[in-house]
Amino acid sequence: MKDQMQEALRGCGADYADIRIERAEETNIVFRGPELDRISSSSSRGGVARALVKGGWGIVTFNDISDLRAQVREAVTCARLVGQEQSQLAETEVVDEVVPAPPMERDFRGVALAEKKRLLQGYNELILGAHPKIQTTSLGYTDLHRQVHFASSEGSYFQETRPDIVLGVSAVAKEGDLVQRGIDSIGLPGGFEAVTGLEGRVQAVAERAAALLSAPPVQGGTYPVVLNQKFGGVFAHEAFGHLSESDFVYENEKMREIMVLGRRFGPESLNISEDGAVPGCRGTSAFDDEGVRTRQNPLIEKGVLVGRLHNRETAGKMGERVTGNARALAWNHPPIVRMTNTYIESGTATFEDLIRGIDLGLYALDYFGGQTMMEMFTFSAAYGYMICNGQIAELVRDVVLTGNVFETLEHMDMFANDFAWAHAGGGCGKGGQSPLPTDLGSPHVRIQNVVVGGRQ
Amino acid sequence: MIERALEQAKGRAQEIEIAVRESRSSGAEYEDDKLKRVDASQTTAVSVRVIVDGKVGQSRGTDPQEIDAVVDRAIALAEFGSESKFSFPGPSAAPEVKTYDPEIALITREEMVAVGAEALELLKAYNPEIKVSADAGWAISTRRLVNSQGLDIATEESSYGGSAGGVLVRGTDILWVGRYRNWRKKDVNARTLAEQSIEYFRYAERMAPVATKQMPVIFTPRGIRVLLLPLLMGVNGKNVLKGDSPLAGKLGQRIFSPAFSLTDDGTVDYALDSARYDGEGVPRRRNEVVKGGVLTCFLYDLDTAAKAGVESTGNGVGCGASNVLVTPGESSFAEMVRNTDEGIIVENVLGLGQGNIINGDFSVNLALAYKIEKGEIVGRVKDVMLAGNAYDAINHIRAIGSECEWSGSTYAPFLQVEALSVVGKG
Repeated sequence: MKDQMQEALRGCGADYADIRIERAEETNIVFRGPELDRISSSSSRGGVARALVKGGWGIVTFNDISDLRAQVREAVTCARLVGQEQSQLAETEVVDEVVPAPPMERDFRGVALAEKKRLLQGYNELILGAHPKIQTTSLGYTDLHRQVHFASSEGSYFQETRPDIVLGVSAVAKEGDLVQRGIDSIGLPGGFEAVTGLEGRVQAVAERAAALLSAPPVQGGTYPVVLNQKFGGVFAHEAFGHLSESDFVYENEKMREIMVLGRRFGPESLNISEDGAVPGCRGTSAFDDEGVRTRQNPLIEKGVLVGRLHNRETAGKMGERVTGNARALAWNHPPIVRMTNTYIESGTATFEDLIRGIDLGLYALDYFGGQTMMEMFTFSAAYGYMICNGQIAELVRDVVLTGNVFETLEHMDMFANDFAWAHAGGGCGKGGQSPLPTDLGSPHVRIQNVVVGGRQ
Repeated sequence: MIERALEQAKGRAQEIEIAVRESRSSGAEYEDDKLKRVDASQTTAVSVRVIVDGKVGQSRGTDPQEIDAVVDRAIALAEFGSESKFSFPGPSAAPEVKTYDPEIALITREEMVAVGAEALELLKAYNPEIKVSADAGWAISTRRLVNSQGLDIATEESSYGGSAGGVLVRGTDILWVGRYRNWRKKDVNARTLAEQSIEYFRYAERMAPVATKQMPVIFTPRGIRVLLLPLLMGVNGKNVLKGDSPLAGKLGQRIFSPAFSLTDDGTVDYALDSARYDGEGVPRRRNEVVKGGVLTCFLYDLDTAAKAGVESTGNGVGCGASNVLVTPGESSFAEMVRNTDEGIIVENVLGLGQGNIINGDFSVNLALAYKIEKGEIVGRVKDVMLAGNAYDAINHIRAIGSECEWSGSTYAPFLQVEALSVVGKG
C-alpha cells in the first residue's frame, strides 16, 4: 500500500498532496424494549486524495483504489481551479511509521457475536426488571476497527489501527404522560473488556429514570452551578474547545482579535488543555490525518489564552506550530480542525468547598449532549440536584444550561481536586462529520451566574 | 453481479434484498471571503438484508465486487438477528415522481464557483465587514434495489444545492447568518440566497434586551423544526410500537389547534425526500398525519407495520417521515409581526434534541432570534433561552402564515404560538 500511495503522489504537480486510505469494519447491536431491534455489520474501504495548488484545495473521495494516480490527478485539477495565492503549510517532521495497535485484552473482532448479544441482553433485562415504572429501554453497542494508511508528497507515511468500542444505555420510565430517561455510556479505544462488568452502572441508570419521574423540573433562572466531572468536560469541549479551533479564526481578523494569545479568559485557577496523545482516551491517535504527531496542547494557562488547535494550513497562516488536530471521521471525509481529548485541569478545592457557600444553586451531573455556535453554547445535564444552604437537596429534571463562553469562563470560580476522564460514548459533530470519537475530562467545577432554561 | 448473488443466497436464506447505490458529487466552497476548495467524489454502497428462519440479518459494504461477502455476513448475522413478521415486497405500481433533472449533470465546476462569487459580492456590498461563506454542489446517484420476491427497481436521483451567509464579529459578539437551498431540480439562485441572508443580518443590526417572561413566539419556516422534531418522533411507528411515543393510543383524537395540519408526502416532484419507492421497495405516498388538529396516522416501514398489525406507509426503512408539509394559514408574516405587542421570532436554535425531546419538552438557546415590540422587529435577542412543550405549543396556535418555504425536506409557513417561556437577563 505504501509504495502504491507514494508512487501515485510522485510528480503530481501540486504544491502539496496526500492520500489517506482506510479499511473499516463495524458491528452494531441495538436493543429497544425487550426485543433485539437490529444487528448489523459493515465493511468499507475507500480514501481521500487532497491536492494544494497556490493555496487552493482540491479534494477527491473514492471507493475505487485501483488507480490512485488518477484520483490524485483529479484532485490537482480541482485545486487548480481554486488557487490564487501562496500555499502555506506549517512545517512538520517527515515520518515513516507503522503504529502498533492500542492494547486490547480481548480484540472485539475475535469475540463471537453470540457473546456480544448475550452481554447486551443481560444489561437489557437488568434494566427492564429494575423497577415497575420502567417502560422501555434503548441499548446500543458498536465496535469499530479502522485501519488508516496515509502518505504525503513530502514523503511521510504512517499506518495506524484505531479501535473504538462504545456501549450506550438508556432506560425510559413512564407515569401517565410523563416520560423520563436515565442514560449512561462508555467509549474507549480498547477491546471487549471495556464493556463487560458494568451491571452496577446499568442498574443505576434504571433507578435514576424511575426517580426522575417524581423529580420536579428545575425552575428557569440564573444560578450558581456546580458541574460534575462529566459535565465539566462537556463545558471544556462545547463552550471553549470549539472556539479554539483555528479554522474559525485564521482568516478572520476580528476573530483573531478576540482569540489573541495572551488574552485573559478566566481566573488564575483555570487551566484548559487538549491532548491527542494521552493513552486510553477515545480521541487519541499517534498521528492526526495529515500525518502530524499528536501532542499535549495547553489552551488556557492560569486563565490566559496560550494556544489553539490547528491543521497544517491554519498553523502555517497564523505562524504557529502544528498541534495535530486535523481529523477525519472516516474514509469519505477530508480532515478538518477537530478536538481530541479536551480537559479542565484539577484544582485544589474539595467538592464540599464548592457547594458550601451556595444558598440556592444547582448541581448538574452527566450529560445528554451539547451544542455550540461560536461564543454561544447550550448543553443539558442527565440530571441535577438543587443546592440549598450549602447542602445537596432535591433531585431535579430538565436541566439545560446556556450562556456565552466569555462571560461563563470568567464566572468559573472554583475547581475541585477530583479530575476524571468521561470515557463516554457519543462524539463530536462538525462540518457534517459526526460522531467523531473525542474524550472529555474535568474535576468538579463551580460557575456563578449561569442561565438555566426551564419553564416558570 | 446482483443476480448471481441473489441466486447464490437461495437455499441459505428464505428471503434476500440487495441494494446498490452509485453516487457522484462535486462542489465549490467559499470560506472567509475566499474560494477555498473544489471537491469531487465517486462512491458505492452495497447493502444486503436477509431473512433466515424468521430472523433478519443485515450488512453493508462499499465494493460491488464483494457482494458475495456482504451476503455471507448478513446470513451469518441473521442467526442472532431480530425476529421478523414481514416479507420483502414483490413488484407493484407506484406513482410517477420526478427525482432527476438532466441539467444537473451538465453543471460545471466554474458555474459552481460563480455561485459563490456572486453571493460574496452581494453580501460584501451590504456590509464589507461580513466574512462570507458560500457554496454550491451537485450530487447524482443511481440505485438498484432487487429482492427474492421479484422486485427489481432502478432509480436515478439528482440534487443541486447552494448556500450563502457569513459571520459578523462586533466586539465579542459573533453573529452567524446563512441560508441554503437544496433541490432535486437545478434551482439555486445566489442572489436570492444572499438577499435572504442580508434581510436577517439587517434585523440583527441592533440588539434587543429581553426580560424573563411568557410571550408569543413566531417560528420561521426554519425555526419551526423546534416544534416539528418531537412531533415527527412521536408519529414514528417504531416509537409508537415501543411505547416511547406519547401519541400512542391517540389516533383519531384532536390533540392540536384545528388550524394545524401536517402531511408526510414522499411524492412531491423534485423534493429532497421524494422517490417512487421507499428504501425497501414500497411505493412512497402521501400520508395525512394531522388533519385539522386531529391525529390521523402514524408512519411505518414493513418490519414495524407487521409487528403493529398494519400496512407500511412507505416510510422504510426506519418509519421516519419523508417530506414534511405543514398546511399554510391566512396571515402574512408582516401581519403577524404587526399584531404582536411583545414577542420573539425564532429562526435558529442551539441544543435541540437534548433532553426529553420525545415528551415534547424543549429548552433551547436562541441562536438567531429577534424581538418584536409594538408590532415592529426591533433587533436581535441573544443569550436567551426558550422553553416549552411542543405538543402544548401546537395546541395553542395564535396564527399560521400564508407563505410557505422549503427548508431541506420541510415545507412550512411562519407559525405563531400563544405563549412560551423566555428566559433572559434583560
